[in-house]
Amino acid sequence: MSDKKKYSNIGRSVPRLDAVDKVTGKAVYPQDINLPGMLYGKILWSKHPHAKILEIDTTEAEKLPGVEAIITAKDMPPTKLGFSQDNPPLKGDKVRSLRDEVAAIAAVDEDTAERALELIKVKYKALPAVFDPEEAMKDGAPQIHAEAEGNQNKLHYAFEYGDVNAAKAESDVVVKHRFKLPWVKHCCLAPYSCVASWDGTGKLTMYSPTQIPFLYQRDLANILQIPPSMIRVIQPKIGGAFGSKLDLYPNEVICAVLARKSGRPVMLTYTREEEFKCTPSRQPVIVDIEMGAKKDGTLTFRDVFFILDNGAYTSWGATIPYVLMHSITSLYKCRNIRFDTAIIYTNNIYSGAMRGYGNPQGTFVVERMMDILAEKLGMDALELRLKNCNQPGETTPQGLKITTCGLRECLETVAKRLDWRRKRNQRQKQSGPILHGIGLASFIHVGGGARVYRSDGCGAIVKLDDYGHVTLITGSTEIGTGSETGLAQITAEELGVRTEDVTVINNDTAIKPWDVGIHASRTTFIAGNAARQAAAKVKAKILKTAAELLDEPEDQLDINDRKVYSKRNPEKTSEIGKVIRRAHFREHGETFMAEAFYDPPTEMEDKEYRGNISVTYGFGTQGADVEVDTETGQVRIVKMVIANDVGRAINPVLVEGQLEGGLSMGIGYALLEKLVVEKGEIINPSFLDYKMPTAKDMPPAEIVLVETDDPGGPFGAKGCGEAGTIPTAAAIGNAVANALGFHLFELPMQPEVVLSAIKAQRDKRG
Amino acid sequence: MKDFEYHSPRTLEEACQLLKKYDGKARVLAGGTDLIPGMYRREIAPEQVINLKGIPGLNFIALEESKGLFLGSLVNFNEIIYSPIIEKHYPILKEVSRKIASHQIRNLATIGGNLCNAAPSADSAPVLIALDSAVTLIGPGSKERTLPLEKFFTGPGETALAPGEILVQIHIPLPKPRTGISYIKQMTRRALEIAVVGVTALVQLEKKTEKCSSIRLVIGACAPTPLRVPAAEEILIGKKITDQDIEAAAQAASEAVKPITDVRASKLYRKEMVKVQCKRALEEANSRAQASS
Amino acid sequence: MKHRIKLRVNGQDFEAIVNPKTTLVDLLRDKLGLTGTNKGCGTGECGACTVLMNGSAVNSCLVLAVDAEGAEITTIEGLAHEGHLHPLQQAFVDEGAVQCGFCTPGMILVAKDFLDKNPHPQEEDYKTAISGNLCRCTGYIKIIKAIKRVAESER
Repeated sequence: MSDKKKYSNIGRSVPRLDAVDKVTGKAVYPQDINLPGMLYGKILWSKHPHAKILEIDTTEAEKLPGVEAIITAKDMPPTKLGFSQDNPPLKGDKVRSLRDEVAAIAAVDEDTAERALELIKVKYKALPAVFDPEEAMKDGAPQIHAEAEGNQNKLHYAFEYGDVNAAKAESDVVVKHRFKLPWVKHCCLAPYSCVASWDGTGKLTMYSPTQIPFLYQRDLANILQIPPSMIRVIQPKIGGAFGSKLDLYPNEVICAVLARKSGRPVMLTYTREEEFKCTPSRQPVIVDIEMGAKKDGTLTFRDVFFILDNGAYTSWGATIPYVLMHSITSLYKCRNIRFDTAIIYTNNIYSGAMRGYGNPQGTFVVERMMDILAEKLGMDALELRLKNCNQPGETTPQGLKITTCGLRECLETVAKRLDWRRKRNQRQKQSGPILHGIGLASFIHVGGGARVYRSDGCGAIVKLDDYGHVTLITGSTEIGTGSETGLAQITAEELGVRTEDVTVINNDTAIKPWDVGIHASRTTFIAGNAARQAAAKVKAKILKTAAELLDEPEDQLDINDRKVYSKRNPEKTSEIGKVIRRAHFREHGETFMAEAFYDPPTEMEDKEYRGNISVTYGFGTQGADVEVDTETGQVRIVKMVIANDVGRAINPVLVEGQLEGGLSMGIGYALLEKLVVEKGEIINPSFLDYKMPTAKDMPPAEIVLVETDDPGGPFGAKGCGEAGTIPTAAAIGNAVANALGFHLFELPMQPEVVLSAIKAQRDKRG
Repeated sequence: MKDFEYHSPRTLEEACQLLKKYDGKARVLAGGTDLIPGMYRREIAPEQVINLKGIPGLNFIALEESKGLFLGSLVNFNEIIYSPIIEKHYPILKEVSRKIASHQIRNLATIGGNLCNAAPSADSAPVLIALDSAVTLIGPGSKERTLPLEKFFTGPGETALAPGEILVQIHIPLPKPRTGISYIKQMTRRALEIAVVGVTALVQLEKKTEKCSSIRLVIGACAPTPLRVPAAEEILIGKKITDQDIEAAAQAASEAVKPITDVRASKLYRKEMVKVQCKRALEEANSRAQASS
Repeated sequence: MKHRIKLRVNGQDFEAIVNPKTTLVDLLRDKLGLTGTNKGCGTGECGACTVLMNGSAVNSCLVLAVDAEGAEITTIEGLAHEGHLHPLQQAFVDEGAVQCGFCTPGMILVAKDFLDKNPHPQEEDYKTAISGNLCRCTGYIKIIKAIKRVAESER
C-alpha cells in the first residue's frame, strides 16, 4: 500500500509546459529554423548493397548554379562513427548497404540540391552481397568489413548462472522454439532534420534533435577533430525520438562538414522515404530459446541464443543484448540461465536503439514461452507466473536488486479485468469463424536510471529570481514525453511553490549541466532527483535567510504555497520573494541559486554482465482480449488492459500518455509493422505500405497505475517511458495463441501470416 | 517534382484543346490526390498540368425522377458523403465513400479523378459498375459520347478516354425496388489503406417470388481492372438464393480473378479472400434486399 | 513559367510569385514563414500538413500553390482569436493530447472541420475524423478525448 501523502504538485495532471506553444504552431522544430544565408543539404545514397567505389565524379554537379558545396569522403577526416567505430560518415572505398552515404551537396534550395545529386556520377564495382545473418556466418560468405572475420562483430554477450545442463535434466517439462522478429521503424512524425552553423572563430552550433547532447558533442568533436568545447548543441523541439536520436549519425556530421565547406549554415532534412530507408530501425533477431519447469511450476532453466542481424555498420542495435538480458535473467524467478549471442554483419540496414532497447524482443520470447510451458505443464498461465513472481527485496541472477515491486498486483489486476477465469478456456466451446482468446504478459525494466556508461548522472541548477519565480536548468532534454513538466512539478513540490512558478531550461549545452542522455526511462528518476537535490539546497538557503527575517529558528521553518512560515507560530509568514529581495538588496547581498549532480548509487555490469545497474526496477503487465477471423486471418483487439508499477505518478495524465503511446507502438509490432527488406532494399518505405497504427487500429484500453512509492525515486517515482511498449506484443501473441489453440513464432501477425498458420495447422491435423 | 507548365482553362473546350495539343505529355488536375504524390515520387512527370477546377458546370449532384442520379465529375467524396440526396436515394455511395482514404483527402479527391486514375483497387468503381453507371466524355469540338462504366476501364491506370477527352458526368440509374448492395473493402489496417481485395455485390429480388431478378458481382484489386464476374452471377440469377448458391458463386469469383502479388498481399491470399468476401458481400446484399421495401 | 497568385491566409491577403510545382505546404512554410504547419511525408499519408482551405481540411502537401489562387486558408496560427485559444486548442492542452506536438496542428484543424460538418458525432466518428492523421506518441486516446469533450460541450 503506498503512502498517500498530501502533495500540492505531485500527482496532479497539470498541463504540460509546452502545450500551448504546440497547439498554436509556435513550437520550433529543426526543420522550422531559418538562418540568414542558410543552404539545404542532400545526401547521395549508394546504388548497390555491396560494392567497391571506383570513382566519384562531381564535376557536372559543381557547375549547376546554386550549388555551394559538394563533399565526398576525401573532405572528411578519417575518423569513424559508431560503437564499433566502423562507420565512416561518407564512404570512400566501399559501400556496404543501400543506405550508405556516398556524397553530399549543399545548395540554395532543395530542388537544386536534388538536381545536382543526379549529376554526380559514381562508378561502382558490385560485390557479392549477403542478407541473411545465418548465411553471413558461413564459410565463404562475402566479407563485409576487413577486420571482422566471418562477419562476426567483436561485440559478444554471453551469460551463465547456475547449472543449466543439470537443471534441464531435472526438469519435468522442457520446451524449445525458434522465434523471428522483424525490423520495425520509429516512425517519428518529424523527418530527421538538423542545422549546422559555424561562426567566424571556428565554433560550431548544431541545432539537433539529439537525445544525447553531451555525448553527441564529444563524438562530433572526435569525428571533426576539433575540441568538444568548440561545439554547442541546441535542441529545438523534437518531433519524436523513441531512441532514434540516441547516437551520432552520418547525416549530422555531413551537415556540419557541408556548412564548414560552404561557409554558410546548412539544413539537412530527410524526406519520409529517406526516413524509412536511411535511419536505423529496431534490431531484428532470430532467437532459439529453451525453457524448463518442474511439475509444480517452478521454473528450472532458460537457455537462450540470439542472432542479431547487425547490418552493415554498428550502432546501438548491436548493444541491445545488454538490456534484453534482463528479461532473460530476471523476469520471474529462474535460477539457471544460459545466454549467448552472435552479432553478424550483413549488407542490410543497421539498427539503433528503439523504445525498450531489446526488452520488447527479450520479453516477447520469454513471455510467449511461459505460455507454451504452462500448456505443456497443464497449468494455468497466470498461475505459472504468480508462482514464479518477482518480489521486493530479491536479487536476480544478474545481480539486479529489486526494491519495490508491484508485479503481483499488476498480474492480478490485469487478470481480473480480462475476466481470466471465465475467458481463458473458452476456445473449446466456440463455433463459427471468429475465435476469441485472452492473454497476458509482464516485464521488468530499469526504472531508476541505467548505468550503461561510467556516468549515469544528471546535473541541475535551481535559481530563484527576486520575485520567487524559479528556473530549473536541467541537463535532461524534453523529447516529447512531457518529462520537463514532471521536473517542474518535482522542483515546485520540493521548494513549496506552484508548478506554474517554474520555468525549465534544457536545450543548450552552453547553459545546461551535463546529462548522459534521454534513454532507459531514466529522466524523471535521475533528473528528478537532481532537481530535487538542487531545490533542497536553495530551500535551505531561503530558510536560513528567513530565520533572520521572521526571528524564528531555522528548524521551525518550512515553505508552503510560496510562503515561508513557522511551524510553531504559523501566523509568522513571509512571501519567498520578500525573503530573497531582503537578502539580495543589502550590503554583502546574495542571490539564490544551487546546483546538484545526481549520479545514482549503482554499478556498471562487470565482464560477466553482473551488476545492479539501476536504483530500482519497473514492472507491469498487459492483457489482450482478441478475436481472430479464421477465414481472413485478421486479428481484432477487443480491449487491452495495462497495469503498471510506476512508483508514483508525478503527473498521471502524462504517465498514461506514455503508456498509451507505447501501447500503440506495441500493437503495431504485434500485428501490423514490418520493414519489408529484399536483397537489402526496403520496398515499403512509405506510410502507405508500412503499417503504423491509425486511430482506427487502437482498441479500448484500460490503464491502472500501481503506485509502490519507491524510496529511491523523486517522491517515489520510477521510470515508465518505455514500459507501455515492452510486453504488448507478447500479450497479444499469447491471446492469439489462446484463441487459435496453437502458436505463431514470428511477428507481425498480419492476416496473411495468421491465415497461413491456420491452414498449416489444419493440414497437420489432417 | 520535375518542372511543368500549369494551365487553368475557364472552359471545357479550352481544356480539351490543351489536352489534345499536349497529348501524352499532359495530365489533368482535379483533386490532385493521386497526381501530386505521383509527381512527388517521380512516378509520373507530365510537362503540362491542366487544372479543371476553374471550369464551371462540372460539380453538381442532381436527381432526376425517372432517370436517376447525375454526378458532375468534380464532385468530391465528402460532398457525396454529406449530400442529403445521396443519403436518401443511394446510401451505398455514402458507405463506400467513407471507406476512401481520409477526411482530408475526401475533401479534395473527386469521383471523376478516382475513375480516371483507374487503379484496379479504386473503391468507387465496383459499386458504380454494379449500379450500371454510365460516364459521359466530352472531347474537342464539344464531341460528346456516353459509355457504360464497365467499358471505361481498359487496364491498370488506363481508360477509354481518347486524346483531348474529359470525363464530365457519371449517371447512376435508380436502383430498382428490393435491391440490396454491399461493398466490402478488405484492409490490413483499419484506415488509410488501398484495398487488398474489394467486393461489391448487388442483389435485386422479385417481390412475390423472392427470386433474384438482378445480380452484380464486381471485384476490385484482383485484376487489371475492376472485374465483373458473369460466371458467378449466372449461378444466382433467377433463383431463390441459397447458401450453397452463394458458396458456389464465391468459388466461381475466386476462380475468375487474376490477382498479382505485391507488397500488400500475395496473389494466392487474394484469391482466397475473394472467395471469403464474395460470400460475405452476397450474404449482406441478400439480407439488405430482403429487408428493403 | 512562374505564376503570380493571390490568396488569403489567416485573414491576411498575400501575393506571391511561385513555380507551379510549389505545393501549398511549402508556400506557407517557406514563403510566408508559417511553420506551424508541419511536413511529415509530402504525399498525403500522414495528415501533419493539414490546413483549412475554404473551410475544409486538406493535406496542404497535395495542393499546388497555384491551385490555391483565390482561396481562404486557415493554418494553426490563425485559429486562436486575439490571444484566446480555440476550444479545440484548449481541450488538447487540458486533456494531455499533446506530446511531441508534430501531429498536433493537423489533428486540431481536421477535428475542427469534422465537427463543423458532423455536429452530432457518434463514438466511432471520432476515429474516422482523425484516421488520416498519424500520431506515434499518444496512441490517439487523449486526442479523441479532447475532440469529444469539445463536441459534447457544443451540444
